[in-house]
Amino acid sequence: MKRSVVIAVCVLLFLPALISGDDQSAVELVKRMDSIIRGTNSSEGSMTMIIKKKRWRKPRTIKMKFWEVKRAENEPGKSFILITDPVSEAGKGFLKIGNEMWSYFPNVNTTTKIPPSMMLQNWMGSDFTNDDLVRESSIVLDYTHRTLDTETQNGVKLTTIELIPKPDAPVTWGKIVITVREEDAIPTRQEYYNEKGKLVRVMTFEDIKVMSGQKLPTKWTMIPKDKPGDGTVIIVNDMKFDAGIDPQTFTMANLRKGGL
Amino acid sequence: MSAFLKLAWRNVWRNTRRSVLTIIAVAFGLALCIYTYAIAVGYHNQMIRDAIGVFAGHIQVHARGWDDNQTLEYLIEEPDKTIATVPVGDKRIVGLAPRVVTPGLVSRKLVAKGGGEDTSKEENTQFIMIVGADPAAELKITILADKIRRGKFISNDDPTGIIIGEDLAESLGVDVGDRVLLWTQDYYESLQAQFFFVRGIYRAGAFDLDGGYAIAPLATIQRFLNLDDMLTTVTVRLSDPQHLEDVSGEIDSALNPKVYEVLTWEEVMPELRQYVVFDDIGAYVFLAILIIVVAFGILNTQLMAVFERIKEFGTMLALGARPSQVAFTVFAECFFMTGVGVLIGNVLGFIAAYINTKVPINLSSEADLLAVFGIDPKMYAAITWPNFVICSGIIMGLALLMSLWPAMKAARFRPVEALRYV
Repeated sequence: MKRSVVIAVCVLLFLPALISGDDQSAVELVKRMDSIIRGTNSSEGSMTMIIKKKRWRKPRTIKMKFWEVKRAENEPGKSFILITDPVSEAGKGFLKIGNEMWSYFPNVNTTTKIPPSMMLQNWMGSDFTNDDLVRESSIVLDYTHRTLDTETQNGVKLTTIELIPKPDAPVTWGKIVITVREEDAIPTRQEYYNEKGKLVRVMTFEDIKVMSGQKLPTKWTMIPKDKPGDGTVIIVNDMKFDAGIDPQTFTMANLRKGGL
Repeated sequence: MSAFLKLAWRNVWRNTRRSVLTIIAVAFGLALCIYTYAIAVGYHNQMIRDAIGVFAGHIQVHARGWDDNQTLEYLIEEPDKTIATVPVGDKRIVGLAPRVVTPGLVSRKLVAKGGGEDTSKEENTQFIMIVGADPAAELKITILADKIRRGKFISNDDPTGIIIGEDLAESLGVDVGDRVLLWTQDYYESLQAQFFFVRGIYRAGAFDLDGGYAIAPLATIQRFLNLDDMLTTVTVRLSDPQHLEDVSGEIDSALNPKVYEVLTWEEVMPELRQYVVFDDIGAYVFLAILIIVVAFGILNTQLMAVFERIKEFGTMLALGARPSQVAFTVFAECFFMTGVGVLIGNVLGFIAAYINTKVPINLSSEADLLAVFGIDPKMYAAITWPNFVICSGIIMGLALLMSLWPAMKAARFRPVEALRYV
């Protein structure tokens, strides 16, 4: 009896905090930021990934094309990535629909399903996870947002927003801290913390360019904190937003064709 | 003192039949111990020799950390320099083999009759170790090629040819000529897949090799894994295991211990060492029973001998012999008797074991059964000096321990009562 009273009091105390945790202006800013990198609904283009590892003889460069339709309230997200370079990897494809992901190996003409447990593993040896590349989790939908701080650096107004995952969100981060330019919602930095509150990796955004009439950062650098000397850079070579992607792109048949 | 020794020696031969029987019991018991021990050592040596000879080699060089993790994060990055530290021209070394060993998955991917995929049968995926091996080097230092049951050994002329163990072939449902698909992470931690064709099926007689290894030409595997010329393992075969410590020490001191680990077969295959220890325990139990039986035979003889001669001991004591001298006499008597038995036993045991070092125990009638386990049906004994020393020592010690009681008994007789004992 006593215990249930205590629980009830606790729930009453914390519930408002949980509900009102979402700060509307912060949500709007994160939403704008997300659309700057991934479009309002969809994006397509090509990018180069440069992976640096301390133990490797030389960094590895992977070039790829990508197509993505973002997850909406009732629609699963869809992505398709096709490797174009190096030759030994060219033709490999990754297709994701909702929580399901497949990859295709052209040399053996075989598709294999990537189990959900592997979504958080590294993608092709990079410091990005499968989930980072073919995102099903959404920084807009799966988190509650709170403005931490606003400061001015070199005349640019920067807002720092803390993202705490919602209880049933399919993410493993304890929190993400995003720094974004208030004026144009261009991100400059994202810090990923684990469930114990320890900083695990940092992603920075640089080289703002205009692509298809939109300003966006084109150099994304991911640095893992536990592996000194390692790091992965993504260079966006070309990007189109909301251009209407053929639904046939996100099919097994297209995956097997190797994008030909 | 010498008078008592003389007395003891004569006593041994007073009841010749009983003494001879005891001596025979000691001799045969000991001979059996020595022989059993020699066979066990011989069998273990053979097992170890096979395990080393089939695949493991005497010494393995890896990048430090490989043995604990067995992933491509631990690579020999300068294979030429590493190999150069092994004194190959040396008489102590038969040769070396460069290898790549990494975990992966294998599944059956049959080719349908008109080409294309045969998906009629369900795939069965197995977790294995994928090995890239240099065919010529392996032929020189391992006997894996002799263990091929069907098909043939790997060859550089057949880059996508692979050999697998009989157990793996069975669980995958593949035979010589069938196609399999191998999956693994490459050097860049990227998932890779490639088709291979089963060219040979072996039975090595080792659980892991027969059920969990797939071996292909080194160059193919290095390309498959984007490894360039890097290796995970350099395996060294010695001409005689007695050089193990020397050679591994020499290689070890030539390499940077922060970068490399140099392991002997005992460290590479700790389970083999454990099996030998476990099997030894079984042999020890058997030997212990044998020795205890012999020891009680001696106790029996000595007690009888003492009780038969109560009057005699009475006389000795009455003539002024000290109790300790009487005890010594009984003790010495037992020592002589067991000593003769031990001498004969050593000779018999040596002869029996020696014959079996030249002529094996032939279990050919059970050859089919033994071959399933990869065991050679010919069992040789091995003669080692500790065998003789330990067995003789234990029997001698136990016999003397057993004669303590009769000796004390004899020493404690009271002369007056003993003289009148009927």
